[in-house]
Amino acid sequence: MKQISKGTASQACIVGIGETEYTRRGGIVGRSELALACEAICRAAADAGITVSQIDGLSSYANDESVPWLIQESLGLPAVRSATMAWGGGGGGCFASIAQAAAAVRSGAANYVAVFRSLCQGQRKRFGQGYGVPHGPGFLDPFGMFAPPFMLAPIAQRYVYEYGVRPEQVAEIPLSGRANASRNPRAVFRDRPLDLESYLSSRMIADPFRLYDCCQENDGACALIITTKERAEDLDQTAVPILAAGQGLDDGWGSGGLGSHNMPEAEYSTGGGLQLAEELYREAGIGPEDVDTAQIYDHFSHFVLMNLETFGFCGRGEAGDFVADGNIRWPEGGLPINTSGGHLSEAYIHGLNLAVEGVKQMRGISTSQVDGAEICLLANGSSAAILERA
Amino acid sequence: MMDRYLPTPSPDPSLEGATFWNWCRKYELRFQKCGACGRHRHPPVPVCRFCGSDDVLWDRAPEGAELFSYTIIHNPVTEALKAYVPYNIAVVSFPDFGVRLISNIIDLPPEKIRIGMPLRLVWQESQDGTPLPLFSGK
Repeated sequence: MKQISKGTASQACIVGIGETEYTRRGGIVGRSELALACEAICRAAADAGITVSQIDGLSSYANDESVPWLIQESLGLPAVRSATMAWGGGGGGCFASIAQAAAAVRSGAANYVAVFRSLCQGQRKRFGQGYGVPHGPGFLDPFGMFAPPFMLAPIAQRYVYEYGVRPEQVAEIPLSGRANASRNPRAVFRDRPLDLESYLSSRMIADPFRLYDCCQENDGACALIITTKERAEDLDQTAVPILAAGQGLDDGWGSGGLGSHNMPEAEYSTGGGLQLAEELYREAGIGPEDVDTAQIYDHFSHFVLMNLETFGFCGRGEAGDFVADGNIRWPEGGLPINTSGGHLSEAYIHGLNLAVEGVKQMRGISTSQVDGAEICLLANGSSAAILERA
Repeated sequence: MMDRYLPTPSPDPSLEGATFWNWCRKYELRFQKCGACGRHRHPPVPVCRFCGSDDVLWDRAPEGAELFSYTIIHNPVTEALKAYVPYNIAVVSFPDFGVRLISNIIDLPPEKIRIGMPLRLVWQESQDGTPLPLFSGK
């Protein structure tokens, strides 16, 4: 039986979501990442029913270059009381930026925090082709390990080796995501159906990642507005409580997938996050059986399988069977995931668009709405959050 | 003179990695070993995560290495790599030390590469002459 402790007045809630258009990489020209960030934040404020000048906190991740002082300057914010950044060059910190915003409003450091991520990759180096190797300079580049798929493929390879996961099972991640995208008019691949045969015959990028296992590279921005439950009660918009949000690297994962792969052997093929998952559920006071839908970081298909196990939806090594049995399919599966199409088929805004979709599910307005959904998990191996229906 | 396995950048050692690459310049693969608790670690960091000691020794890698995991790269991300795909990236494990090293297997085609296979250390010079620790699977 679900035991959800209803939030106190200081509980953090998501009260606004804002998105720009999402395009293929290079699709947005003549506008800067800063301009997109501002557009997304303004839309989120309007969605929340607050004025932009009420925003007094900013939170981002992945070393987003739309720095707080430029946002403040551009939006004319009277005061920025909290500005936080989840370190690191990757999207692993996406839900950590929500945790930091939640901490800021709960502590009273700020009243309304805008969480944002903005990308114009046509105007800069491509994220997916490797820049900003965060750990162990000189220990990856000389061996041709440049880009995120190269760094993470060995973990997936070991996972496939240990559990005998078949490509036909892995395919369920991109195929179900693409089916969800077909119902989402905002999805970049909404009109590009994908079938098993095309998946299996697609070219290898970094074995075992086929083309359709790798997320898109996109331009676009999105934002959330986070405040306390007490302030949210004064707004017309439906508030989505954050039951728990956290970030963390488990012991030994400091030199993890983007580093020298010296994680503990017994955990290597989890992709990380065992400790994070346990702490998250404890903070939320619920278990995986209470989760109705999940938005799981699908930069590469295999990591969704690993996270399904890490966050307790099936046993270790069982995710291949779990997804092949239809569990993640909308609408009939018990745990529809990535209902916007996810990174593979909606857009890759480095995780934050998954959070936007989670809010839509909790408001009941997703284009693949899960009937009666009350709890949504947002997760990757290094940060996660649990949202509740208001 | 053997061709380089990959036309990749030479090591750009940070302060923490400088000693590792200095040993490589003497054709010796050495990993950090905690002077207090004796456990090995990689990549190099200033403090032992197991016991907190900053007493560092550099211990020569054992002969026995094996393939822990790998990937085959089919998608070249630099112009220079186009003629080199498919190439492998190997996660090489030294079970006696409990450490792993990212490297390449220089003499096997993709279809001959198997997790768990024994590997033998070989050296190839990178573009600036720094010897790189690479591996033979034969």
